[in-house]
Amino acid sequence: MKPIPILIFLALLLGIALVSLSLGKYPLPVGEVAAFLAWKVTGLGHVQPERIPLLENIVLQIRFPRILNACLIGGALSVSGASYQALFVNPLVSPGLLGVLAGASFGAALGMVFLKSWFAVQTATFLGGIAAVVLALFIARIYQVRSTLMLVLGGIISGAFFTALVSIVKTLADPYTQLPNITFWLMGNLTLADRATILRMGVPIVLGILGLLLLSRQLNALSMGDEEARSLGVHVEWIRGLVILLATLISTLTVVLGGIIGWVGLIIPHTARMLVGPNNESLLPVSALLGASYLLLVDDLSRTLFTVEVPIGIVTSLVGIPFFLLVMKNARKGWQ
Amino acid sequence: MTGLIKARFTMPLDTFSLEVDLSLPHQGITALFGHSGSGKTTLLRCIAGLEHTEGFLSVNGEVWQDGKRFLPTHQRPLGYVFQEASLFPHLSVLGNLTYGRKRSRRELRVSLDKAVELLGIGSLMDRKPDKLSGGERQRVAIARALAVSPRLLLMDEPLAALDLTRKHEILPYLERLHDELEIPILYVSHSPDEVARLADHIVVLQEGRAVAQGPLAETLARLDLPIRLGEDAGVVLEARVVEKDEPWHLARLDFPGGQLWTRDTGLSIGKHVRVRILARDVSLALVHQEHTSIQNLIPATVEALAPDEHPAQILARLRIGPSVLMARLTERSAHALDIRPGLELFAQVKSVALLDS
Repeated sequence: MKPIPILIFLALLLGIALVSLSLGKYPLPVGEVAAFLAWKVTGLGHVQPERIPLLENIVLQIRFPRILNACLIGGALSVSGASYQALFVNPLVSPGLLGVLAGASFGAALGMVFLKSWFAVQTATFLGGIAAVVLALFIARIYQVRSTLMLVLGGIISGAFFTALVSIVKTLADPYTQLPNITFWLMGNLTLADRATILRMGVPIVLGILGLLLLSRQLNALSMGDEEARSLGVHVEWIRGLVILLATLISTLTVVLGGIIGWVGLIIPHTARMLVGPNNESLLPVSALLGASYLLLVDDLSRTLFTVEVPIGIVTSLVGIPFFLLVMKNARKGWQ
Repeated sequence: MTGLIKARFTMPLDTFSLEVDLSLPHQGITALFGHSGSGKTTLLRCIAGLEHTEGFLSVNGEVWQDGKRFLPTHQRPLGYVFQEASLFPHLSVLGNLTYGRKRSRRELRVSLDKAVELLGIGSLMDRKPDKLSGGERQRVAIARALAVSPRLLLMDEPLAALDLTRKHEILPYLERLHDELEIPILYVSHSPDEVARLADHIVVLQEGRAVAQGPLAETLARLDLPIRLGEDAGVVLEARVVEKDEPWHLARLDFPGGQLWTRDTGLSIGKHVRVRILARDVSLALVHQEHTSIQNLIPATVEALAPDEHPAQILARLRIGPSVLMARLTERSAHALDIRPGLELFAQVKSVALLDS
């Protein structure tokens, strides 16, 4: 199959974003939203002047941050998933492999029980995620530095440890106020983050994704096998360390933005690999674009399907599992 | 120490430990020869820096490892060819070749064109690895190892994963590397055939120790070689084609001290060839036999006798000018003919294997 150009995926994402901007409790015509955006960006075209305040409010103030949020989270989880899959040469690996999601959950839960400010909770979430990966790396290091198997085991242990800690915090939490908050958070939700947070987290997430894209060539070498990569002059430890650092960073930040959103980081890289093959130089950007598109679509579903909004983490799992079964049927294809 | 590869390593392995202290020539092909599990691949990995162990390594005066100083693999200017080539599945042959190349900021010792030409893969450049045969894949892998402009080429049984036909397909290319490149090659092998054909220098490894080493012809002719070669015991001679007997399809080869008739496989006069003469193909006669079908009767002097693997047989080393032959005979006939060191006789060579294609 001929690789599908990255531009097509970009166009797909922009199209879905445009549709998403027009969807909601107060539906807007897609054409009007498009015209408004074009006018906003270029100053050209025509928008009815009396509609401008309304459009400003709904499109820019209310819907845009949320759509940006979905794109950031979807893109970040998919890229870090794809990077991990390349790093561990394993299609069943997801961003949570080294325990980052469990650690961030613990940080968030702990913050919600013991800390006052929202910013402090976000900081705790971030630190929790980092701490879990550091623990996993530490466990791996005790035994053998170079083995990826030990890294995986370290991640499992660290993940289990932090999951247990989350349960402890839950039992300590006030069952009427704090516990529902924690539970809700762990379901994954795009309404949690405010505009300022999204912008603040957006910068490091985008930088992290770009960093991983820059490493995609070296990631190719790693998926060929450590020793061959070394003999071709690749500094394996460095690349691996950098990839883990960046992937951890961006996946922790997604938890800060939207809680735990499962499956995206597993199925999107899979799908992308089936579409464009195993070359990380195209796989990573396509994963980012596809992941962002996917989470946008799922968010549209969770916003519009029912009168009450369903937490997006639940929808990604519900949609993701059957989808994954379908994908798994052809999963080995993209690895050959 | 320029002109040498000095390697000293100590490394505990499962049942024995690798303990070597070698000075290898910084040119030609040096075979690291031994049975499976003798530590030869481990030694190669130590040299590549894939095993981090105690030791010392310098290549042509440049120290790669010494005490605390340890140049990691990716900083060593070497090419490594593994038993089985893993190429990037998504890149064409050309893409695979240039992958490592883009990474090497060192001066180019081998141009890409040269590597492609040497391995004969010019017509494969646009193909994807899954469209290559096993032999072609390995040739691409060798070209890729060359394309990073190594100062040392390490090959770990590059033919082991291939069937006999593929092996014969690749061997000529390896010979070309030997003839046309100035990069020293360390070649791990357990096949006496490959070693006889390719190597200039040999290190025989047994249980992690170098039990014999030296120039190939000299070392193979040693009767006290601790490693048993069995049917493969024999010598290698460098010879030159000097005459052709066209009607009979024969060619005469001159080697230092003597001459041999062999089948003419399209040899041209003046060509240098390497021949291998197995001990089992050499018999002895005290007088010049007139009534024999054997074409090659070479005057020789017995230099030494040694017991062979089976008690019924012995090995004799024969001196022919500066060259050496080996003969296998039964202990009984040695006794009957009173063969002893110093005796002048005739070596009857039944079969000569031309090693160059």
